[in-house]
Amino acid sequence: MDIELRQRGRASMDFLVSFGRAMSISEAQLNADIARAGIVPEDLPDDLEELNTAMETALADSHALHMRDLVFEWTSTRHGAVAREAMEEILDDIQPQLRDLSDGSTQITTFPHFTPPDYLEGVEIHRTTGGWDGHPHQGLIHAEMVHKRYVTAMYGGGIFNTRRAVLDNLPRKDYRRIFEMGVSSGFHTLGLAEAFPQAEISGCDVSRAMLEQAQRVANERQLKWKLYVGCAEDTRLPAESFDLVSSFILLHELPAHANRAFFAEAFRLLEPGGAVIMTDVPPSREHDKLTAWRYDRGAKYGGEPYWREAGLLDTAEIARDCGFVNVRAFKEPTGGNYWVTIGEKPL
Amino acid sequence: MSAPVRKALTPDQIDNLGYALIELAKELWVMKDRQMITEAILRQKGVVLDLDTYQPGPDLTAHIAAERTRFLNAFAAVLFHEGA
Ligand SMILES: C[S@@+](CC[C@H](N)C(=O)[O-])C[C@H]1O[C@@H](n2cnc3c(N)ncnc32)[C@H](O)[C@@H]1O
Repeated sequence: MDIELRQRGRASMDFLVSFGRAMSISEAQLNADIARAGIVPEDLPDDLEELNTAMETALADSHALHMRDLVFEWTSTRHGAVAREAMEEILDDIQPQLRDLSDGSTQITTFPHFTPPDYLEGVEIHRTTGGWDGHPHQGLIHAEMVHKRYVTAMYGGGIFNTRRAVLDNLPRKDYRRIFEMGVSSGFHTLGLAEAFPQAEISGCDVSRAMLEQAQRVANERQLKWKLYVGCAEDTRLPAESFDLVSSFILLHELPAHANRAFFAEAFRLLEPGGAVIMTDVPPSREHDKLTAWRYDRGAKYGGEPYWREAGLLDTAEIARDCGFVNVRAFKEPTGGNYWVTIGEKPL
Repeated sequence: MSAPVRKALTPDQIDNLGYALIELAKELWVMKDRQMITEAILRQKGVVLDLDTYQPGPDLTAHIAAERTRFLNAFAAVLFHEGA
């Protein structure tokens, strides 16, 4: 979608990005404080809670750390609202466009048995009021404002390439019936459609607001996806009805038991010879201690309540426990910081 | 007798003050940005057009971005200045 913001919304979004970048001058200051505090990474505890306590104690006097906390706290609690306000300013103007795009070959159905999962109750993911369903146009706000204008500007556009590039790691090139878990606004779904243009694509997400954006993305390109409002761990779709099940950055947002259930459901949904590919952030054991501390702390205060627990899982072991074979878990070779888990259902 | 000197804020209110300041910086930025656009429009047309929907072209976008960076770098320098 081509969206033109009004002056206030545009300037506010620009502010968020430039503010974040300007604050990065404190990075060197923090590193200097870490060095001055005599922290020896190898001597730090493995346990993330103990690691955090050790770091906070050692850096209690770090001006840079406290100021960064202030900046991060403001940014993480306000970015969602700034994005929402920018979108609300133009909502009336773009209503006709939204109406047009909701009409097309991609439709949304709710699984009849769907009830929102307990583990998401009261969770305000990314500290956004109401989380993924916090606004009737949350999909539009997140995809067009937060993701395209903020996350991409702050962290680079590589994530868009990765959503397609990870699929090159799969053992086959001819998947025909694909199911995506955690479709959200359809960014990875587009990667799937591009990599496997002949395939029929289905997918689910617990948030209708996010799926409405995925629907617009698909209809804009005349793509025909079957989108379901529902839990990926309990689709009740026929067993063995897909040859590829994929997810992209879904796992870290959910508790360990849900992650295990995603792999089990993927196994059930796949026909023999089919593959699962789940891409997410690397597990914490893959990081050095200082990086692990930064990620863990960022997640704790950034509205990622299950990041730590999900990051302790061994996804390859989970996949094997579910019955997958030829299981591989590795860092995505084309760049970025992504962990790919692939397994095949035995013939 | 001179009035007693008092400390208005308690330490745990300092964060609120910090957030309010950043909020203020954002609002100020919105105004500065708006003003630059006003000037550009006035220069170009001699009349005030709709500021809300005006989309700055590449040159003005770059000019605004440079000014925003300068403005925020100065802000960051104060925030991270030690021993204040
Ligand atoms: C980070 S987003 C996924 C991003 C997306 N795949 C992409 O490439 O942009 C995570 C999504 O998972 C959804 N979600 C959370 N719990 C879920 C569940 N149990 N089943 C399906 N989707 C779920 C959320 O609503 C959210 O839209």
